[in-house]
Amino acid sequence: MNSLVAQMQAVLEDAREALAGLSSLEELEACRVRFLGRRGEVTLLLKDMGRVDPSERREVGRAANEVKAAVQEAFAAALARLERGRSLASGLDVTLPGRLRRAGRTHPVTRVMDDAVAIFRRMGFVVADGPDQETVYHNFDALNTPEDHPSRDPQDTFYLADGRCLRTQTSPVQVRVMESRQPPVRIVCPGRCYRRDTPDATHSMNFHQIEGLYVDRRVSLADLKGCLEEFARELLGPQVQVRFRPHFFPFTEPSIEYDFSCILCAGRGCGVCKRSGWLEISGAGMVDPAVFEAVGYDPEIWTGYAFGMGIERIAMIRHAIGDIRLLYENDMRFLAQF
Amino acid sequence: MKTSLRWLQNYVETAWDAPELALRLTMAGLEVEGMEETPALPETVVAARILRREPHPNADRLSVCTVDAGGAGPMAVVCGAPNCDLGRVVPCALPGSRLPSGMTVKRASIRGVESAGMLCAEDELGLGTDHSGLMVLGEEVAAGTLLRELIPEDAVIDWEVTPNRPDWNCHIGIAREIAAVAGDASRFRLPEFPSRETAAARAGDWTRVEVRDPDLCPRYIARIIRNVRVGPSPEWMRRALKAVGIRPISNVVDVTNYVMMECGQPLHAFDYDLLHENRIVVRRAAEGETIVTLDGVERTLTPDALLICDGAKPVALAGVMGGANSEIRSETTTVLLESACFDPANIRRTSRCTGLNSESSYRFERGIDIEMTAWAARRAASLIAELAGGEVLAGAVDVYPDPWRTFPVTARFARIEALLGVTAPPAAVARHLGALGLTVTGMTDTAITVSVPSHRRYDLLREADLIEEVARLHGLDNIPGSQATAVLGGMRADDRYYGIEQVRAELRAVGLDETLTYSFLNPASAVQGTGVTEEQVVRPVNPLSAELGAMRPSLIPGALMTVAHNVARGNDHLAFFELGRVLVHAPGLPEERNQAAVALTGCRHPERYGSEKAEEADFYDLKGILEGWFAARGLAPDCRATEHPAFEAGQCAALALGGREVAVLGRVCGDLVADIRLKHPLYLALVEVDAVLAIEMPDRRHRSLPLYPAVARDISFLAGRELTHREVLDAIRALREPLIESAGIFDIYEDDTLGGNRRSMAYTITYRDPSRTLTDERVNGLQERLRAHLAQTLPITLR
Ligand SMILES: [Zn+2]
Repeated sequence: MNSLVAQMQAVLEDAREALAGLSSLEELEACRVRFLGRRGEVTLLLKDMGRVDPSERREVGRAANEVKAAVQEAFAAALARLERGRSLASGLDVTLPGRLRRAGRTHPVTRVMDDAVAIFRRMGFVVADGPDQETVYHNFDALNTPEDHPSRDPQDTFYLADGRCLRTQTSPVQVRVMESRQPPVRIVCPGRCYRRDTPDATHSMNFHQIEGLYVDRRVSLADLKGCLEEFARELLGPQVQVRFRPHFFPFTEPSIEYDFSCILCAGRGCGVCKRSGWLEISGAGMVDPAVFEAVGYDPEIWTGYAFGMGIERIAMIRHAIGDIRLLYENDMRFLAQF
Repeated sequence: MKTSLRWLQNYVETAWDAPELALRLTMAGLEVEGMEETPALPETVVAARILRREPHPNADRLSVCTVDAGGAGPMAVVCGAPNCDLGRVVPCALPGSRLPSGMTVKRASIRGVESAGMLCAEDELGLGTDHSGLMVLGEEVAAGTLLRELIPEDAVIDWEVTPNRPDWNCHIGIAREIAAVAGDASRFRLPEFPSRETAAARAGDWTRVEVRDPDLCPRYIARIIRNVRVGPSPEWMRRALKAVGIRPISNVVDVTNYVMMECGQPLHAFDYDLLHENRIVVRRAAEGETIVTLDGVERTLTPDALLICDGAKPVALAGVMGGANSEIRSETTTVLLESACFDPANIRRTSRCTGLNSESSYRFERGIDIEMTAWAARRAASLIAELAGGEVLAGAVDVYPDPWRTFPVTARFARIEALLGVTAPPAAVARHLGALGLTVTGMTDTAITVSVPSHRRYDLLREADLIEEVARLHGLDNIPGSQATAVLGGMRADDRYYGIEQVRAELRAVGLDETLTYSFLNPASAVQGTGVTEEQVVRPVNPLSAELGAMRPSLIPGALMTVAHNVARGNDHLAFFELGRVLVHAPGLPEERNQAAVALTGCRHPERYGSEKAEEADFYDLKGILEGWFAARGLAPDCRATEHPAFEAGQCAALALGGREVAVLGRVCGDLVADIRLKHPLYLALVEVDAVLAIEMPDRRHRSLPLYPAVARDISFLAGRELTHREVLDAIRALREPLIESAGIFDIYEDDTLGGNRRSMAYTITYRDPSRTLTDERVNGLQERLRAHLAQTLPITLR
């Protein structure tokens, strides 16, 4: 091989090595002068072309030009690398915090309420609404509550000076709807209720309920079970089971209490479900014929089920909250968790 | 209601252990509140009689007792209990006894004295919690008796009895239910006992009963037992009562309680000789009449209360509590036993008025089995004669003018199936009702008729009641849930919850966290900053406490409490809302309406750094939040300065939509937040949500996008500070120039050099012609006209 070509190959290797170690544009300029300047190593070698034997000149010339192009390409790459580095160095510290524009958070109680309403709407229920200040007739009498039933006691129910009370349940809304409309009726009534309970970990003087009512021809206890099973699975997950136990409420007959299988231990038994695997949720049942008679529905034609549930209770189960008062303190460190 | 498993087994054959029983009855509607199991005691725990007690030679607190434990003669036991008195019969654990606590008793030398066993307290045997002294057994118990024979293995279950099933308030009632749940009424039987009556004397000759108010006392039975010796009950009786939570008193009184726990009939024993003329009169109290009840308290009565009297004076408050003047004493020799039935509502009233609750009033209030009254009297008389000696006079005085008669109830099979959603074959229905002890008196292809026994006379009245029983005994677990059917459309236009849900979502979307506060407020602070007067506040007549005596008339106090709670815990940067109902009685206002309170305090960007970190949120941040929310609903409220009791003067505004004020906002007055250690000013807004929701959605038809470009020109002027931005915009609008597309402020400059309370305001005016491109000349002309118009109509100096 021609010695000139070999020399040029060596210069290319030198240039590449020198460029790789560069860290500034100043060094790059110095390097450019060293190789490509008027007296640079590459330039000088090219000048030596004149001394090459004419028979080799053509081949050597092509090789020399290739080497020169390679050196220039290496310089261009080094320049790009250095410039990118300089931009990066002078760029943003993208790890600094952004200006927060977050959406507000939903309170766990209203989240359960909204979820429940959404599920029941999907099942064909319509939301109904009624007053917080309720007549004793709608809150108790029309619901077949005996005259001397303890729930009417001023120990348990708040009364107002005009003889009304603060509703202790949202069931009076059901009565109001039945009074104003003939069946079929398929409603849920979400809302705030009041009971004269001294606040502690499990009691609150006001709380939220959602109650449902479905009156139609041949509505049965099996339908009630199907409805609550569907609700439980939609709200808490497909594995949740529903258990019915007989109970007593003046408003319904048969009356039941229903339990959900414990979501915390999957029904195996834990501290929250008192080792039973079941969480007591609330009451339900088939609407008592006396209630139908009070609102002018013919109990021979219509049957219906009614159910209720405490929203706080479900929120506490859902989020493993042990003290209901946390839900009304509004400590942002607490609310930020939902 | 507590039952002992052993006690129950006197009336029902069952192989179920306590947990099984608890589960079975829970699923039948009788819930368990608690369960306590008495362990099986080891064979080496025996009754021992203390023969001698001497102080321990080496320890002040210990005694050395010589006891007869029934074995090979007296033995010495070291004891630390204070009550190891001579003659007492107490449990003694012999060496090798492994006690329920896990400890094993050994023969040991205690401070130099050999002890051949250990005398036990209740808790050491797992029989209770008492550790104050040795457990004392009845003196009749023979030394050496195995304690496990005296106190057998047992389980006490505390049941939560629903008010519709008063028949569950006794062992017999629960035993009946066990038989029913087991599907076989014949497993249940009433106990048999000798009458112990003497033929020598008749009760009817010894006493008379006069019931003056039969509506309040439908049945009254008196029996007489003479020659009794009042004293402590035997150990079995004392244990039985203690197990179910009743304190043993004396043999006569214990029997009345035992029979009540057995069959649900409350009984009362009078000292016959203390009854004037030895007779009973049942009558209403006179107004202001008094009686000293057994608890020693004198009670003043009204004619609502029913009294049991003798020939001269009241001797008991009927169904609630006996009188102190006629109670059984240790010297009583003749007992008049009352077994009666009283009106539930009347007893409930009396109990409530006097504040007296007893096991007896509890049962009368809920209703007792009027047909068991005679049985209970016979049973108790026999037991008294058995435990206290003496004899029962023949017969009873039974005033029962209108005997109860059974009645039929019919249930249709088709109705059962419709209501329960399961098939109900007639044979299965008959089997279930039969298991409850109901007698089937009629059966057709379509319906079944039963006659109701007296113990179910309060709750089995109608078809629905029978259907409930069928559901219970069929087992609710055996009713499969139907597939919840899909129904089209769950929401209607009049769904008010949807509007509220949307507003909450919109307020969250503008960055506000959701809170919920109590509806009850301190009356003093409930009206502060609300503009509501104290008379307008809704107050429960029976608040939980005076501090919780007012219903919130506004969400402002709740928001202030939320701020206070958080600031006190170092949460200084707050942006939250509450949406809820407020109650108020004020003219022109609905008595219940939905409000939203929005609170803002702290820094805009505490998450950032440098000066930005310290930038405080101000009035315009809150206003912007509301404007952003309204904009999302397509609404642009009018804003004007206003005054409001919650807000600082000069930093308060009202927002109106369609001329109706829907919100007020501002910086909260210093005196409202005096107790809160705010680090930053607090801004609050109060929005009338119902009013906002009532506003018709604005015209939502779209407008074509412009085809030609707009041209912007600035205009600036000096003006007095009293000139508002709003007035400038109004003046621009007043020109009614259709080519002005918009006007927006871009600078306000205040400087002393401007002189006399003036500021410089600068606006950008955007011109656009929808049909062509505007030329410079055209815009210059328009701008000149606007400048002239403003200079003419506003007190400004153009720059
Ligand atoms: Zn669990």
